[in-house]
Amino acid sequence: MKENRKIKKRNLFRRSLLYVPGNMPRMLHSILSFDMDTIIIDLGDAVRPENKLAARILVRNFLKTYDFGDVEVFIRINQIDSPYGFEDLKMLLPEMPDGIRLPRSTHMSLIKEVDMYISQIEDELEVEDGRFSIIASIDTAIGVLNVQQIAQSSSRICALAFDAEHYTLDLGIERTKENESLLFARMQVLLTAKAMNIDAIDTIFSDVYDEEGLIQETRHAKSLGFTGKSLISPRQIIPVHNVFAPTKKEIEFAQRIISAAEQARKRRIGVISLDGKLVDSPAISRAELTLKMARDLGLVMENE
Amino acid sequence: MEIINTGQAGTVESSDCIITVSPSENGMEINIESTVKLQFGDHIRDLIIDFFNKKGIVNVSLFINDRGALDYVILSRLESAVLQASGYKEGL
Amino acid sequence: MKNILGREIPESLHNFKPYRGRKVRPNLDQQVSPPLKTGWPAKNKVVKSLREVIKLTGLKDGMTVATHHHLQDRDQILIQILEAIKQEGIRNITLAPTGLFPCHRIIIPYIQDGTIGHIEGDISGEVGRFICEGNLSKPVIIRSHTARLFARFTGKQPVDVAFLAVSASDRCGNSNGISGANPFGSMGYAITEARYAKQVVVVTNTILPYPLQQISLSQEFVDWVVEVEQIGKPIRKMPVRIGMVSNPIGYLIARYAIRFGQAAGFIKKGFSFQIGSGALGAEIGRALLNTMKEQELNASFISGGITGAHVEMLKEGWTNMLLDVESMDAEAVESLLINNNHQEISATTYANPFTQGCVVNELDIVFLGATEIDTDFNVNVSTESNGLIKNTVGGHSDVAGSAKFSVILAPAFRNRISTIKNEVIAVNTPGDCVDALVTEYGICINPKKEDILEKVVENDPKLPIIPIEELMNKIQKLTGTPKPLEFDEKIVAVWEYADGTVLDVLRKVKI
Repeated sequence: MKENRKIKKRNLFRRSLLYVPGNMPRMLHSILSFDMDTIIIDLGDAVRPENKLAARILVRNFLKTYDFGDVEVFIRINQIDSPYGFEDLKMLLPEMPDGIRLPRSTHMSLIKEVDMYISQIEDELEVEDGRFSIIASIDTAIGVLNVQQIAQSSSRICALAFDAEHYTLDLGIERTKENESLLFARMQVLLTAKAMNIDAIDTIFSDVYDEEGLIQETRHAKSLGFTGKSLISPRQIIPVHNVFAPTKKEIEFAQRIISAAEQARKRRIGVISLDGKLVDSPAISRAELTLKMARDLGLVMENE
Repeated sequence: MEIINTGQAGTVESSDCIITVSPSENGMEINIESTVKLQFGDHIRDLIIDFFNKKGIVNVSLFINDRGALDYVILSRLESAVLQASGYKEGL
Repeated sequence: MKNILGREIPESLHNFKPYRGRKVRPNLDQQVSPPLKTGWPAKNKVVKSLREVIKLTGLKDGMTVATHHHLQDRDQILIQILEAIKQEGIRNITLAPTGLFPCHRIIIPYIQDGTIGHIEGDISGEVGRFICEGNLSKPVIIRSHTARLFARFTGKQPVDVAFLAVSASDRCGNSNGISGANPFGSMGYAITEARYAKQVVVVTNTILPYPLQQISLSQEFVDWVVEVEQIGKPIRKMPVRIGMVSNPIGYLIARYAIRFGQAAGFIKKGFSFQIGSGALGAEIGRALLNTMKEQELNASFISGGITGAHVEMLKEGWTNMLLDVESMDAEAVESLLINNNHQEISATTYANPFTQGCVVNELDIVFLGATEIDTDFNVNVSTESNGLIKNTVGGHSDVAGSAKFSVILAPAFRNRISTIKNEVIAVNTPGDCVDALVTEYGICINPKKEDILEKVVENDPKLPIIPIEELMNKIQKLTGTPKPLEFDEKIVAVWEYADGTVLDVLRKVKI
């Protein structure tokens, strides 16, 4: 199990990134029953300063003990300029999480520092370069302004995650369910992620019991181009997966692309076309992704 | 490793435990209170003694109030409490 | 002697027959007729105090007193009855309550001082613990709802006096649970308790003019009417956002259970169902309602203990009927009063198989809880992992044995104790009555239901179906294997199945 963990996981999608507090055993080991794409173990806000060490030890032993299968595990470390950030990395990366979620990603220099430190640990652990990924949390005004540099600062960055809770705090405004004031920041994060070809993750929705509200906000995020959402309760997984599920039309289109590609392969034709339009290789990857998601959700049968 | 003061870690929430270790003069004194004492009391004691042996801790007094914590949790709380009790301070 | 579940039933248990299997086979020679009474010329039934009524009934040392109160944990009558019995100097009675709940811890002193000598009834809470510690000379006999009926009409447990709480009565004993100062809803169990007792006393805080409007329990069965100041605390309101503040694990189990019920073909248009009480019950109720709305599946009826959640389903048209043997909250009580499609049923209509047919036989699917389940699907609902009785059994085995499909819902482990074990501490519901177990780690189907397995795999291949032994090993790998409890010789409890046979006994735990 340990050996396998040295190899970087290649996840196809990150629709649901579920936070779990790092110092609560009951929540830690119950998380494994759920079918989120990514677990984010929170050592930051969820853990009081006097418990930081205890939480780290607990999470280390948790990672040692359990097998996570296809699910990605990220550690939401403490701010890197706090007394805890580097300690978190030092103690937990040897347990081979898939990466870290970096709060207060504000400047290129800060990310580069983290990147170098991680590279050093990778050398010590004798794992491939870039084994550990970074999800950069964009959660401040300065972060939103610098997001392009941030995204370019390390090849480890696999996703940009917008965090409206801290962002509104930084701006000194209230977080409401409508929050038009967030649109600029959301779009800035999104466009950068798209331009860099990495994942765009939308912010948490904090009212666990308002499923309708969650669905609406997720639909909005999807319509903008976000492909995933950070979650604070397992109850939010299924509604979010349903929103990100491909539509019937999308599935049918994907199926037609795949069969066109297969036909072309059988007849050894290099150029693939559908309805008189050229089908390129990104379109084929996208179609495969759509069908995998559809199969996972039981929208199409395994062999379709 | 030596226990020089009192260290404590954990909570009394379900699936967790709270462990207190302090110095002792007469070897190991282990006190177990657990919601699953009948089924796992002996096992928990073995787990703790084994940990102390590995760390070379001989003189120690320990109290655990266990709410059905799994092994990895007990070992984590134990390690945290012992670190504290042996004078470790974070950031030093 | 071992019964067919492999449980050791000592020969020393006088007069007990071992469990023979799910199918109940009444021995018709055993039946006794309800007691004949002479109510003519009309007598005055209204008595001023419990002490006086005890004198009038002629209750004596060693006799059997049955009690029932729908308010369960809010009952304030039982303690008054026991105090009156004690003051009359009567000792060593057999108490036969339909249920003892946490509030009944106050009766323990009456066990200690010898007023109560023996208990035959459903128990829970601190009284359960007290009995498990070996404080009674004879074991408590715990009967499911149906088993209690069986013990009555076979004369196995004759009742000398039954005290029944009613929220209103007239001077002749016509009574119900929906009128008066402290209504509590359905009188399901009281109606049947009244039929076989030699004398029946209704206890109320509201006497209304004759004849009472809306009669649940008829005057023909009632010997005496006693007015007291308090019958209990007001019935609870349905908690706001019921089931929402619970553990997400419960939510996950409920989702699996609904998908499973659909894949197995038991949740569909016009189906009928019942949900056991408890936190998981609330979760499954919510998940089921969501599914019914999404897919426009109406139910034909819901039976059993009725809650505000069921009432909402009725109001919004997702079920045609509620068949209420026991109202669980104020919303259910109000609905019973005003909605004609919310029907009170007696315990015998509900779950008596020794009739031309009862409601539970018509149930498509039932969701029930468990504290433990073994690899033969035998279920323990009463004791915790420490071997002490914590919960009542209610109608668990009755419903499980009769419904077309019975599904147990439980977390895979609590604290660090695996719910699935090689052997449960006590069998309350035998494995041949149980069709499946749903946990957050997987769904186990009883091997006797092979056809269901095939159907489910075909209809919903993504469901995590797993053999029960395999799931147990998987869980115990996480939790560790618990050391089995050690027991003394002393038997503290006996569980009877619907037909009066013995499912299991519990011995005192060695500590």
